[in-house]
Amino acid sequence: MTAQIQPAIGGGGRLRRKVLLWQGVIALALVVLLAITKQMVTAREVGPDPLGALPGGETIAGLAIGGAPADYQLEALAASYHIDGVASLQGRSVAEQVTAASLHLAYLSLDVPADGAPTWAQLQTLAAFMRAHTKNGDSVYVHDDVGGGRAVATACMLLLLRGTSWAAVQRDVTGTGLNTMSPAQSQAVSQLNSALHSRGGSPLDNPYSKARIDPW
Amino acid sequence: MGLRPVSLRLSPPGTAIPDRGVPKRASKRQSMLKEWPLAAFCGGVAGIALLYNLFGSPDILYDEAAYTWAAQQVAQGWHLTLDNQAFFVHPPLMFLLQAGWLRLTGQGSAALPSAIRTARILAGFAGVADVLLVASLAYRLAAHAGPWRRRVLTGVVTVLTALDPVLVRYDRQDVIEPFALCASMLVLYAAWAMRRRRAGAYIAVVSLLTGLALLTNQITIFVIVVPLVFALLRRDGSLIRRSAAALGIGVVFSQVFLLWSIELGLGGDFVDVQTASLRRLVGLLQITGLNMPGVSLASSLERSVTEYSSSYVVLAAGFLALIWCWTRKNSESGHFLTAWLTASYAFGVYIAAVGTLNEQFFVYLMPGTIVGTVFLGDALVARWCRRGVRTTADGRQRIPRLPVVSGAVGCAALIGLSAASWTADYLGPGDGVVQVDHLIATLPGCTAVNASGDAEKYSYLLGGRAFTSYTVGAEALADGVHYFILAPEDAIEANGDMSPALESWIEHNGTRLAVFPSAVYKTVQLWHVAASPYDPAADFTDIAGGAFVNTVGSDCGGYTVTDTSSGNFYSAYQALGGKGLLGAPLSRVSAITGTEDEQLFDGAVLASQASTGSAVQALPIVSTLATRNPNAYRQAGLPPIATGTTSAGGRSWLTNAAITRAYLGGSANTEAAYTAAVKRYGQPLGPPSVLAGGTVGQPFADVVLETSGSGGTVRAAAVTQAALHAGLLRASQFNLAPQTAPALPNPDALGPAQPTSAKPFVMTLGVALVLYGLAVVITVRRRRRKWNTRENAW
Repeated sequence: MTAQIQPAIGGGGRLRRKVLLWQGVIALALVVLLAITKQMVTAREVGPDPLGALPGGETIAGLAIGGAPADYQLEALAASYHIDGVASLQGRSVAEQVTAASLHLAYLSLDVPADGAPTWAQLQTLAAFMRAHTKNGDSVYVHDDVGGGRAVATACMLLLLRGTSWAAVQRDVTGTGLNTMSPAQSQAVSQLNSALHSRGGSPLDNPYSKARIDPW
Repeated sequence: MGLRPVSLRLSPPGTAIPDRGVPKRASKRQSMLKEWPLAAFCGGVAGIALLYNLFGSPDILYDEAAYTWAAQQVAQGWHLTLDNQAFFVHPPLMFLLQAGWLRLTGQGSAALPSAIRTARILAGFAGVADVLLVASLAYRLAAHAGPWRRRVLTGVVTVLTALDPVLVRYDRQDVIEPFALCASMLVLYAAWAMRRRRAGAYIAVVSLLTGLALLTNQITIFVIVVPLVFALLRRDGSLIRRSAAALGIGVVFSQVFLLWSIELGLGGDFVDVQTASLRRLVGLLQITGLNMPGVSLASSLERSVTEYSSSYVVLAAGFLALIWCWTRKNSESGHFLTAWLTASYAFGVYIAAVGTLNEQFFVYLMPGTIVGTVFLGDALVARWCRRGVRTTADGRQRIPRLPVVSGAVGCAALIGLSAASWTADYLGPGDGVVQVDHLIATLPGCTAVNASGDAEKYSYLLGGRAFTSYTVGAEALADGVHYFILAPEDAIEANGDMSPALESWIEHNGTRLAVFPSAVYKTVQLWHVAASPYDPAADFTDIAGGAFVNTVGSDCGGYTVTDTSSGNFYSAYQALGGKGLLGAPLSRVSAITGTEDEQLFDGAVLASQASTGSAVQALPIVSTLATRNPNAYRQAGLPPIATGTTSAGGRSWLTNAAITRAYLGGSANTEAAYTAAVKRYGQPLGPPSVLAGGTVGQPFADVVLETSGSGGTVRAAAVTQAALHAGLLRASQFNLAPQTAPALPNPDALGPAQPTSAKPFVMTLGVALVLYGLAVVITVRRRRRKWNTRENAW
């Protein structure tokens, strides 16, 4: 057997110590660079925004509103936005209710007409629900079918009820959001605002005349 | 057996290895011809590993189903799309190639499973080419070894490449990887083979191959950058310029992809898609892979260690080879391998630590690491041998046996690991996705099935049949979906709709109907989750004015219960306890007489009278059945009726706590509550009785309420069926035809249609190739003329 014991690679022996030292330093620098990159990328890392994917999905002063979520969207919302409860303004949905239960989320359904706004009684129920499920930084997802006027009007009213000024609410709600409200919904918001801030009592024809600031 | 004496040619340690002179072309060809046994061995191994049982395993991934489907669209009408929008995620070259192949083989419009089988043949041969290209490059790089060792090294590289679990997984499927790896290996091979050729020839060939590789998959950039890294390591100015030029021209050439999008008027969409792809690669957007939030990398690695163990060993050994290369004085081939390993590990370490960690990306890493591993083993054995060489009394040198044996054992162990994995994965059937689809095809066409992972691959394979993608089992059941596909691997990787939570729900609530083998998905299973007609959270979809209750199969049909002009049936249904108490509807609202509409339910018959407006009441079906047909009543196993019933006596029969609570609607047993209950369900007809099976039942005029012996849930016994059988209710009077279920949610609804023709791409590519060819010819002619002028001048 004739053999030539010459390796295919690295047969020329080890590099000089000085070169190896430099290479070690460069390798270490690369590892540090990788670690820094990892930190930077992780800080900027985003998954798909489940709220942004929902029709009319947005956060108004910490209140998440939007359209009807599918199960995977509700699951993603619960994970990304610390949602602890779901309030449906379009009436009860068995599918949504069981999904919420499966995800250990509280569920509230209210029948708010498509072009209407929550009644004072419904607002009280909502406020109580919000109070119960917005502790420890948790949030509630309030939705109608399309993330339209019902959801926006309800969000505005809940914020007013919490004591936020109308000017501040207007700042938080995007222009397009306010435009989705029907005249009836705008009027309801206005009536609630009036009822909450009129010192001499609001007119009796104001359906929210009994409304008082109810921080949640 | 003692070792025979050998003569050695040893270079002193610490000196760089001079490269062998390039043999004359003719002698090179002759020596290559002598290598036909090696070529046959390599071809045979690659062919068996990549083509045996090609149709049976691996299982179909989303990519394979979608890409083959897309190739069929191109073959049929040039439309490169997965839906109705242009496909910009990957360059079109592979799709065009497969489209041509499918058209050539008459599979352009065939059923997808058949088309996938045909497409796999081309992909499999591309995989064979991958193995042979890696082996050829290893052969060329091993020029310093003697002929015998060179063949051994090449053979080992071939076997390891052909059996590598990661490479084989993707090289046996109609996905982009076999073609992209083939294109990038061609770049490396050409760059190495032509490194000493004139710049023009080098650039002409390497840049064209680079462009084609990038038009196959842009991620090949991490492989095709190797020649430039090699040139930099060599500090060869001329080679650096040539490599950079070739890479630059290749990148420019690949912009045909961008041009195509502009031609379609979709440049903005192209930029959006490519930006998203780049953000995913960088790690800013994690929507797939093992670095995705919620996916445990450690558990994924632990789970895959049996399947991918040899790949992991090779990756570890390859990393040692990288360190070895960087710390040694190297020959030219050693530098090339260093460049190859450096590019591979730079990419691999980044995606593993920061970027999107998709398994298929490792396809581009493995060839370099396999060659590196084998060459490292060779170097270690050679080094050991050199140290252990003893000079015999007659002056000859003897090589110790142990290093060679150790090397052989290590090599055999690694090959054994790969072979064991290959045997487990590809020797038998592993096409669970196709098998489960075959089974689903036997179910009625209306049957809704929830997919595992992604719905698309199951849908594509069944000619577009819709599959649902519920992530929460309870919601699927509420919408009437009872069949679930479960692939455990999807649950581990939290792939698409499948998650450990959904897997657990299915296993806890369902019955497994079938389990099919699949190495990819760790079996593909079909489950059925049954639901009681009395389950208020199952088969119940809210619709405008009421609900739709699924009563036929898995979302195959049912009845609406709504408040309409015929009567407030939904409100009455809910007031009487809804589905949880009365069960599911058995008919539509049917006009029995000109003034009366009725709807049948499991436990009651609801009726509206024109005289009472929209009010709906339960009919006294129980008392009527007991009076008119006592035999049928008894045969139905209903509780006995007491004689001489009065309202006062009836109230005293409310002795069962659970039934009383349900009857009185949760109210206390007061006169008012009793009166209201009599209005809802009719008066009691007897005391509670223990029935067959241990349940307790109590008859009321309109319903029979039943509960378990220990109390708890109460529901109305199925008296309507008994009344129908007894002829008390005439089925012909009722509309029993089930209604179509409302559309299930579709998360993948089509967006606005876009132009999708790949024809402009082909035209642009053709023009680019022609222009490129012309530019090469003109350059070559000019150079020749220049040389001729110089020669004449001399």
